Amino acid sequence: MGIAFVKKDPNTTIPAEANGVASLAATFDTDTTSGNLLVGIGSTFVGSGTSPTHTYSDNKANDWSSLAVHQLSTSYTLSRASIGYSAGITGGASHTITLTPASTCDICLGVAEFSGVAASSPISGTPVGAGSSSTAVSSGATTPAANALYIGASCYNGTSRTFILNWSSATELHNEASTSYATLGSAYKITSGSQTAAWTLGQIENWACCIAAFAEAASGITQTSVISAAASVPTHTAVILYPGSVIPTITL
Amino acid sequence: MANVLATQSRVGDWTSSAAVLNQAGRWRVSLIGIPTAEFEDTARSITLALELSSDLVMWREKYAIRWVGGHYVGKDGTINPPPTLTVDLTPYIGQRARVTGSVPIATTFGIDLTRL
Repeated sequence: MGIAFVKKDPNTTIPAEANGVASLAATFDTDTTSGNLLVGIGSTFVGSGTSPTHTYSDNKANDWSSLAVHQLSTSYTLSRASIGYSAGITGGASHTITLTPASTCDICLGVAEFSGVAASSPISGTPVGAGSSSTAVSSGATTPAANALYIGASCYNGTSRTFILNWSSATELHNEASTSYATLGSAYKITSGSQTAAWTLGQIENWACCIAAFAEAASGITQTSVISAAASVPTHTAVILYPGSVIPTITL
Repeated sequence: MANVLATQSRVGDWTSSAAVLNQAGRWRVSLIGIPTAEFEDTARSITLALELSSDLVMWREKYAIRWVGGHYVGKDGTINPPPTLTVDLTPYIGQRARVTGSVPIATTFGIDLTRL
């Protein structure tokens, strides 16, 4: 079956952004598909204090109760990045995902849909986050059990105007390095083994970065019966086919 | 340059006039001039949504924000900075856009639609 990227919203490099608000919602242009994985990648910024925690929800009554991971910037705790998810979704038209921080702040939000991800308990490996003051933005490494979808999220508070994805072979989802809004870098990669999401800033800033891995759905086709009208087959056996397996020959 | 699509003085849900998106890039939508006096109570909220349509008949909400009182009070007596939503509307060139929302007090405000 395999994991595959389906679509993202906004379908631009820049995520949706709002300043000084209690929530921000984004709606996919086309229908989402039931059973798929939705991820929300968001960041928040406050002028002083600590950036609030994040909550994701949607308008299809799907379970977004858990964040995959979130990370607060260190030293100056003004920025926070997070990855929310809902697996095995009920999809449909006008599917809206909402990021609601614990208090009013500036928000960046991008959402994406993936197929082929485990519909239940999809988190694989240990999600990790890290935050520091440097130009090198890095999540730390996560090592899932097998082939996986890796989602990385990052943000910073400062005046850098370049925020370059530095995660080899990863595909960028959204990038916002403006000084007028919350910042956000997000990307994904479908592979296996230890992975570390990384970006490079134009100058030293306080940043947050995190990564989560989602397991591939178990594959296989269950063949429950073989029926032939031209021959009498007294018994038949259920056969489970896995990718790469040899289809058994049935001689009548 | 700011382009004020509509001003209204009423309570409850409202809808702006529609405009054709004919310039690619990022657009900023703000509700401007809302007096702060009635919004010191954090229970009050303002909603603002950007809707898109291809035929002026079927409208779909694309992005939406909710603003609650008690924060971001400007010295000029208005909510400043104002509730603001910014999106890149390049994929939607040629479609119609309008702004909808609700302001829970009787007041005059403006919808500022600015291409960045």
